[in-house]
Amino acid sequence: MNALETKDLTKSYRGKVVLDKVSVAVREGEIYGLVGRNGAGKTTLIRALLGLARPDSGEISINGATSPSALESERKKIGSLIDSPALAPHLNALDNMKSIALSMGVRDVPKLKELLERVGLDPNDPKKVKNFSLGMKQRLAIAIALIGDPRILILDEPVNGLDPAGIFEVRELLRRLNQVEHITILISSHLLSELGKVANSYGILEGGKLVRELRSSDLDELCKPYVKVVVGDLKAALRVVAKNYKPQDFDILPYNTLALYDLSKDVSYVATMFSNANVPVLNISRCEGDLESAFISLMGGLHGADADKDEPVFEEFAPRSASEEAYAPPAQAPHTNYDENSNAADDNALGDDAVDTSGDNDINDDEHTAADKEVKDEK
Amino acid sequence: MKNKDFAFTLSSDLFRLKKLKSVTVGLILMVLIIFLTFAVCWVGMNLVSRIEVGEGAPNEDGVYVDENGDPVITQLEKDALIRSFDDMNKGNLMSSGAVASIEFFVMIIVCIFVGKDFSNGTVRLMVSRGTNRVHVFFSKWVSAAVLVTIYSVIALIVSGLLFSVKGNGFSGRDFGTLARCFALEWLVNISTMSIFVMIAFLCRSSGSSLGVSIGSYIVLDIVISVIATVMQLSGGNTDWMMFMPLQQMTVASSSATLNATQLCAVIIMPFVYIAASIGISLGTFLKRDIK
Repeated sequence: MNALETKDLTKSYRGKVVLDKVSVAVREGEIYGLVGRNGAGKTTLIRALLGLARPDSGEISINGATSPSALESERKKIGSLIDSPALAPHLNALDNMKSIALSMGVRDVPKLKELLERVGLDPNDPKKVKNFSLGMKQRLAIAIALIGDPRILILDEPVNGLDPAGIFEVRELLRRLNQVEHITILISSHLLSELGKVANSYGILEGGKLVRELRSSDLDELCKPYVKVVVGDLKAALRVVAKNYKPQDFDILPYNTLALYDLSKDVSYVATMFSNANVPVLNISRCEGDLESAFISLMGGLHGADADKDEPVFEEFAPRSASEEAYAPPAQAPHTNYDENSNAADDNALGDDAVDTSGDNDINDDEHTAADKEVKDEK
Repeated sequence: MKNKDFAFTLSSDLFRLKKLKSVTVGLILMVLIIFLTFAVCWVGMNLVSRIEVGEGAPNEDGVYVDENGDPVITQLEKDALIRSFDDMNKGNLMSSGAVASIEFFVMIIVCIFVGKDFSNGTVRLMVSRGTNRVHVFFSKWVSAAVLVTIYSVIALIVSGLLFSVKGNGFSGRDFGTLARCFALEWLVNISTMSIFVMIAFLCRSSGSSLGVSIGSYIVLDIVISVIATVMQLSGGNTDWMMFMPLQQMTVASSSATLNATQLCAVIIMPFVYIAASIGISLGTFLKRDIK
């Protein structure tokens, strides 16, 4: 049976579609990773599952329950962490736990203390939450999510702000909860490498649509190697590549870099190809595929992002594959102010799902950071 | 389980409300205000009691003067002054709810409490864990009503104690008036609280709900006073004033006998405002997405 399921779930804010007929299925006992860019609809999907956002159409099912009252009752078995941790800053960790536990009818203080210890917090620490570091807040939020022994955990960026040791602890905790206590986990994260270490199923959201659902075994096949070329003149290089490669066999990475997936054309062939066309090549290397590249490729690569810079050269190489079409190019991108009360910025209403409204920067900072990191790592 | 759900939510809300510093600060300030109000009476009584009574006769203006033509206070005037301070002392007890400025403190606390629960994500967490939105709303409303009741009772007890310091008798009739005033002030405070709960649920953050509440509190008072003054000058009726939002306290705290219009204003209008504010805030809360 599916622990969580949506059928044709659609949600729009002020006429802009944020979730477009999304159908996901999270099987009981699995760890499901939700992947997508900022504004892809991950948080909105999670909000809809948790009853915080009312979908325009479609169906939500939790442990088979679909009616509003049954869903409400099933949600009592869900522990969640969404956006910033829901904590009262004027209370200490234990009082925060008590406050939420009381609302669920849980009065077992030793159990609450045990949960705090489990996430690495001192239950007797009188320090108020307002003086906590982001990592400590995140740990406390995870402990709160575990109150009442939930059967399902829905976590939006659970390792956000944690140090490497904290990330490791949370990862192990999630693994243990899943393997020992058979808790179903839906987890969304930007840290794809982290997600890859715990999840066994993935759903890829792009532009409000579910681009693909895959198992971890499918992902291994997608982590394909490629030839990476840093060129001096991207416009000229793209003309050469377009003549020699099928559209789905190359991708544009940041900083005048191209990823060529057709390995029948090896490094020397590529070097000769550019040399013959008088395109300066600054660096050329063969790279092994990784999870990040596979996800970026599944999300439509970085074409759309770069095209947003209004450079004509990119327009010639507009989205080509089916998956790229699913990813809305900048001109049609859902530049939406999601907040129905015009104070989204004030309240950071939708967290990572808040879409850039400037209209000129479809590629987000995270992508830049990821891409920058990738380039730096390669160097 | 459904019935217990509300009790669970309420106990959680009361737990957080109890831990809110502004509740204690508000209480201390309220007691201080009550003390100062009574202290003014005591000082007045002391000053009057020290006045020396003089012999004299009324001049052509009706003012009592001595042989030199200087004004003097007669025993009659002194007694009247003492009586007026005594009445003021009793009036302070009767209008303990108004004297204590409960509606002002409740406005601040409700805005902070509800606003914080929204901005901290407590409401979000409760709803995401299957708590019914109606329960979430009424739990906050009941918590605020409990706060009003506690403040009202404390204000009454403190006023009673302070009245007893210099009070000059308390008849059975006075007790009846006190009970009526307390009940009406409590009802008016509950209706005022409902309006502020509504504002907090609509604004969903402490800062903005406080701003809107204080703004509406002041603006409404000024606008109504200006219109009433203009109407009064032109000889019009100003009874409509007491039917306006947040304007019932003056009548509710009056120890004088109330006429039918006044009774209607302090009994029916609070219920109208309670129903309207609950309807608006609950309707909006049920319909809106939660951030």
